[in-house]
Amino acid sequence: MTERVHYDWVVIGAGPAGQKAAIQGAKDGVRVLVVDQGRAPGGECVNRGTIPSKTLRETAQHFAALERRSAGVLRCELSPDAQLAGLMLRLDEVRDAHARTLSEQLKRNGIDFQQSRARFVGERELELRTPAGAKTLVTGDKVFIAAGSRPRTPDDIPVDHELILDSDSILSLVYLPRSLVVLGAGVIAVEFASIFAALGVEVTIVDRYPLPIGFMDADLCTGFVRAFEGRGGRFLGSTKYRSVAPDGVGHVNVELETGEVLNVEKVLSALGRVANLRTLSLEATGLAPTERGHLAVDSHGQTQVPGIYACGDVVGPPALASTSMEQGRRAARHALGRPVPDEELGMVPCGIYTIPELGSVGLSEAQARERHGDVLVGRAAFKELARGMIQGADDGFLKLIADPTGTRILGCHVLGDGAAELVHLAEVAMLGGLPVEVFVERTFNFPTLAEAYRVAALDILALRRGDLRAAA
Amino acid sequence: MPPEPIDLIATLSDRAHNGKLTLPVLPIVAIELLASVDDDDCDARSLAERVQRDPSLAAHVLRIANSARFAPKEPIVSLTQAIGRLGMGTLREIVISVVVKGSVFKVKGHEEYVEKLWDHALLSGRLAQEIARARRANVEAAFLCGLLHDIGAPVALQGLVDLCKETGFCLIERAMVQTIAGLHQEIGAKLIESWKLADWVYAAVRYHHQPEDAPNHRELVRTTALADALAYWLEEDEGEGLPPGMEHAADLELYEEDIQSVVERGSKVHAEAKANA
Repeated sequence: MTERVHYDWVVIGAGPAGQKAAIQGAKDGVRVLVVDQGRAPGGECVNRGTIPSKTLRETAQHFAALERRSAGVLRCELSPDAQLAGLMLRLDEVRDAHARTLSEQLKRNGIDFQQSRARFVGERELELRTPAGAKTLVTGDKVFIAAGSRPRTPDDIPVDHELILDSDSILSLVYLPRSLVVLGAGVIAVEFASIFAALGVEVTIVDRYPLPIGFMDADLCTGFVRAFEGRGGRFLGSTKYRSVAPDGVGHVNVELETGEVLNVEKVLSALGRVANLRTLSLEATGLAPTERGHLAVDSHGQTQVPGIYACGDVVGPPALASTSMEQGRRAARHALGRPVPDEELGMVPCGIYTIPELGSVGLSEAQARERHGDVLVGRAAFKELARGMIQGADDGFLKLIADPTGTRILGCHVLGDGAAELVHLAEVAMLGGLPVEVFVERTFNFPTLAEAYRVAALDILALRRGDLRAAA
Repeated sequence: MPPEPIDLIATLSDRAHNGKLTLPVLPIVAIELLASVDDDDCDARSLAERVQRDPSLAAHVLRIANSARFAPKEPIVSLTQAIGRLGMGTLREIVISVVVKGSVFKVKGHEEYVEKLWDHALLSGRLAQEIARARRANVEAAFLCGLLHDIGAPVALQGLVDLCKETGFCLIERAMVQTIAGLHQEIGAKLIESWKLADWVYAAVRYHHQPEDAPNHRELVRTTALADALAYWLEEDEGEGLPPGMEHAADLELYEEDIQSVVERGSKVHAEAKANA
């Protein structure tokens, strides 16, 4: 007979959203069960996503920086038989340590973890099945769906994980390919494209839109393309593929609508991700995915079914680890009856771990002009800063956007080393309602890239004075 | 007077450790090919050139390219044509299989037993490949580990045959099977070392019966172990009842339905390959 158990909360998925929801509940005395298909908590983020790709990126970044900073004195080239795993030597260590920390965190908070596949058999009743096939029926007063996502595979791309890979299998390559076509130009696509390009692979990005990562400020997008092409990459924007097929001799032909055929060793299909809802039997709850395959929720993560919450990648964009954690936390607080802000997540910083890195917070220039009219934009090139010169950060820049009076900061966008960290300074200034002058009047460590704020702020102040003079 | 009884496992193990066990030497083309799994330096032309150096191998490849599986409209007469028809991946698999079989899987007087070992190796390779595909792990590496995991078995058998010849013992089947079971991992690992293959192949060959002891590449070792168990199940029990190897499923994050589809795809590919062998 199938065993039956009851928990206060059942959380499906042990990625960033699920973990935060579970911990928030457990800290309030709630009895929580976390269920995940994987053997340890962490989700795709630890096993196939953020952690592995960032570990490889770390190596690629040092590799690229070594040549650049030695002013060409050192020529770096990987041997053709360099194994990819050899470039991620610390991966197992990092992954194990991270998984261990997460497991301990769950244990410390008295949260039960079970490796199983879950499917709804009632509104808040689930059947859990272990890899060995043992079944348990579990009910929860509240259920959190934080099942994450997987790569989307369009029907016309025969992903075989040998020649044509997706973002989950790309890091399983034993050797670095000599050439790679990346289909798509979203976050995952550009991150992998720039990492492989930095490692000396001939990379071509093919995307239907004119610029990559279209939701970012246009200057960051063009800056990325410039830097990527400067490192030998090729960006084919406004270009659609007609077909993708193995050529029969160990390579892949990517035929473009322009008629050009790219014959490459590997193809990475990075055309978005889909929510992991397929195996959950959502129909048993009365819930149905939206047209885009996500779950619709309110600002507290509540679905249409009382007591069922959803958070993380299953609710759709932005699907970042950082926002997923916050969604999980908010959903849990709401379930506990604790105060939660009514508005959406609001200002969320965005870090894209390309080489060079991109960081963004607040409005893009186009959004700011649309909402506020003639905004003032201050710029600082890293190559004009002492720290930037030392680092050889030729591509880097910071762009600060202020309202038309040149006082209120509306957005900040950074390209270059440490961009994802640097934007936090602007975020805090924006949250605190600090004026642009704060970056001129305060002292920053020297030499640091934070000086870019001062340069960009001075730029805005100069524009402001110019405007005032023009008005006089 | 009958010879003194000896401990076969201990004697053979000593020989392996002291370098007194004859380890088969692979043709150069095979060593290059084994080292070039997923190596993008090994393109179609260089592969054709390498195969060309071994006329009997080239003939074998052409025979397979002309077989019913690939059903060419016109006969294939050159290796370059064969590569075009079969694809690099398939050709590389054929070449590796042919050379490994020809160099290692042949023990005079035990042809039937060795043939069975070979069938098991091939099926394990196919299943490992499908397990890797289901896990989005490296497919070619998994095939090689599955194919070579029991490579120590025919070498151990040859060692036993040689030992019996020297000592005058008559090899009884039970002792033979026991000795091979006890030593094939150790001897296989020695062979992989002597062929200077990658450390992940070594790990799969050395630890596929004790994946938890593998110091590294544990997922690949478990993939090999599961493929090995599934292959035996298909061969011995014809896939009846529950699939074995479920103790590896949790670590590999595979569920019953995933294993079911691995078995279906692996068996299908294997049957096709066998029909055309």
